[in-house]
Amino acid sequence: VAAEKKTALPASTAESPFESKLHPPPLRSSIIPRVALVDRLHYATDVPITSVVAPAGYGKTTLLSEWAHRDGTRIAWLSIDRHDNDLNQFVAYAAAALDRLEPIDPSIVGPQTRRQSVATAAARMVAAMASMTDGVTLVLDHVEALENQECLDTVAELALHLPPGARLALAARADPPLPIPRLRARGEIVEIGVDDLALDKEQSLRLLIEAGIEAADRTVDAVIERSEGWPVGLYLAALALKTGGTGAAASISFSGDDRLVAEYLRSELLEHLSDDEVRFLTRASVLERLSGPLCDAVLETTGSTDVLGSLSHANLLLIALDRRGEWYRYHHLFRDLLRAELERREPERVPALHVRASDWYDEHGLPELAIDHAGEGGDADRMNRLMLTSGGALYARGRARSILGWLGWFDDRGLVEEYPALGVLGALLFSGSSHVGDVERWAAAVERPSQASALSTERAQRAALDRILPDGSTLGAWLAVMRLALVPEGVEAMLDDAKIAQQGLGATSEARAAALGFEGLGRFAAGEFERADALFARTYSVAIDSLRIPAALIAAGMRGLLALRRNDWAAANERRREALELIETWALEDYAESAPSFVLAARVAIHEGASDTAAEFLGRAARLRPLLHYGRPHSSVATLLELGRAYTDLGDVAGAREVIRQARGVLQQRPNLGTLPAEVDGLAAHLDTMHAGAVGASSLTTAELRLVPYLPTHLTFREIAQRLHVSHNTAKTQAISIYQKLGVSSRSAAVDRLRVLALLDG
Amino acid sequence: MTNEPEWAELLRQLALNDERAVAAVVTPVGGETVELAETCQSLLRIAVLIASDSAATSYQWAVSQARAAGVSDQEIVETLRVVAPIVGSARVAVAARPLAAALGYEVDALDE
Repeated sequence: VAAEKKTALPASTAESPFESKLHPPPLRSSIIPRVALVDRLHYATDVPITSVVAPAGYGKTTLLSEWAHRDGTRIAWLSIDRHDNDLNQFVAYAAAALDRLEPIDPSIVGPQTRRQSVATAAARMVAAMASMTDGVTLVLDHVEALENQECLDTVAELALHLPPGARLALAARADPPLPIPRLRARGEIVEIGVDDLALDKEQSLRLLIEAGIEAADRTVDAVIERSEGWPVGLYLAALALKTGGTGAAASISFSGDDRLVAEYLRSELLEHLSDDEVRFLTRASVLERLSGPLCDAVLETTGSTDVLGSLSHANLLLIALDRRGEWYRYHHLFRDLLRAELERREPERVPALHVRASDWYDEHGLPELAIDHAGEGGDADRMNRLMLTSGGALYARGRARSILGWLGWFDDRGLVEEYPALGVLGALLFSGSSHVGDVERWAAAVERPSQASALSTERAQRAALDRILPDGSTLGAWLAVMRLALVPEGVEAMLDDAKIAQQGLGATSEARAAALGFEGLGRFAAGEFERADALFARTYSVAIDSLRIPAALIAAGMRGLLALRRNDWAAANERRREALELIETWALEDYAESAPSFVLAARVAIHEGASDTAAEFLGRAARLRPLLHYGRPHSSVATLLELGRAYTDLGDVAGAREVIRQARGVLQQRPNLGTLPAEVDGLAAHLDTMHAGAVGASSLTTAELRLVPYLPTHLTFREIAQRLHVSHNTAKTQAISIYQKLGVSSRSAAVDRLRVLALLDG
Repeated sequence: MTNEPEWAELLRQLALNDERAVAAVVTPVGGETVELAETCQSLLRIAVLIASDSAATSYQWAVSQARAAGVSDQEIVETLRVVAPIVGSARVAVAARPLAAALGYEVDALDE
């Protein structure tokens, strides 16, 4: 297993467009050098933050790229695009950018699988930057593509905690995600805006001349005046003049008005290109990044590599992203314009272009881009297929946000009922997250069509359930797996569902190991401990073989807890070792599936009298409590019960009672959990015979535990409340309660204490 | 009077606002007193908070203590009903909000 351990950094292959994100575009000789501005950046070594903010076409990327080429090897570069709106992905890329500069220890940034909070993500990036032998500047280009709140918060957090000597530079069209007032007050930011980036008259003239315009042309003065120093405007005007435009440039004002520029592009630029050229330019605009083979496939043509090469040679609006001439991108503004033009000229073609892009990315092992393009092409069948075959793997790689976005795509179009297996996938994936609301929503979406079909014939219903899905399983089997996870009808019904799942799941289905594990949990809840143990043993081997590590982990943890019930400490210890190794190797410490193993480790440590070890594992288990809900009621209650027993063993009655309260909350939603409710009552009754003792950190409620990861960030309580979707008052009340339980009176003291208790990353 | 109960002296001193006696009462040291059950104590604390119009943070702590003593949330809310005839509905209405917050429920959903 360890041999296949996932690496921290995204793989780079010649065919992947990702590598090109990590380097500044090569400089071109025809660019007007920005000597003064580059100097300003170069010598501002004591100012850690640089923000370059201006609308499209002002040369933000070019400026930073010039700076990068001047400062040479000390600049790590990341071009952000809309696919990066997932914290794990974003951190992995930032780490990869740093790694290209100087290899960083993968353990610093951790594997991509790790679910991380804003504070952890920022701390990792800070640690990675601090580990470099010399001061480094991380450049984030095209930051406006970043929309995800966690990513934005992480950038701000990083800006406030840069290690000495490190710098951060951002280019964005507007509103960079930085705490600007605070940075200004600390004198820690260089701000470059439109006024700095606009070309003066002399530079404008030079740009026109470089672009092949005669200085003597009588329209030049007018063009310069109207463009107000906007470089891309000037460049468009030069192209127009060169290709035989009438100089209408002089009669419109650019100043960044996109509508005018679009009109201008159409009448002055595209009109003078050949039909073939226009078709290539506009159709390829569906792609964020372009390569010869990709364009060949999407445009159903040949020779795109040559076309791209010559276009980029002649035209500054197509930017080469590497020196090998493999990947290109349009200038962002140019792409927006071409995209609009494509919609105007041949809107009916757009879906097919996206679908072919999706095909190409799928064939080249890039399922996320394939799914994104399938969505943009409106091809629900294709998205469904891709998500069913790679959704689990993507989730295991920490791409929950992306999956949620794709599921939202189906939801927005009212398509969930047509694709019930996706609803199952959503419910299953989110049953292990803290989004219990999402679990319910997706499960409910799946139930809607089955209710509708209650009106149809029994035969039609059977046929629907027997339908074979893209992963080789029947729909009925997927539905059974969902019921095994959510246990809506109680544990007795689970036995039938386990049979349906076993018969209907495809031989290589992702859900096989999970189904076995859930069946084991069902037997466990029913009090059939020996059968449960045998099922968990099988789950473990199937899961390890098919690399479904979270399922293996829950099996190992539960087997250990079963060994505790038999007082078989040797076996418990062996399972503990097995489970902790999996958690360590696969960086699964933030997954709900790790909770039973942490409780197991704590109880073994208590038995051995190792109180420090026990306390640490209890802290790590407690962190996961917000993930233990009725989305997976059997494993949640079983884990909480054992956690309660661990607290009881330590005489922490208050902690045990809080855990019991949580377990009862789950049981209120799912009362038919076999012998588990009686066990919970039994432990509660035992606690009534004990003295309550002091209230401490073990009494944190799940709502309070959800707030904990935000405490080390720069976010105010008002901002934290927004992130958690609670009122400002509630967030404050919870924070005060956390302070009281920790016995502290300030946020920083709380953070210190939480670190000691292993409730926060040290 | 020789058969006076132990607490009679304490009550007298408190009535006279005897400083030592008051200090002995507000200092949370068990001493030689007869202890009420923990559940009972914690519910009493909440009842007094309601009656004295206390701050939200006091409720927070009292609820944590009550839960630790094994009192259910249902029983905590019952306190409001029990004291309502004595303290009046206005005070109960005021207390409901911080008590709900301490229990982890948002009753002020309309505020935002």
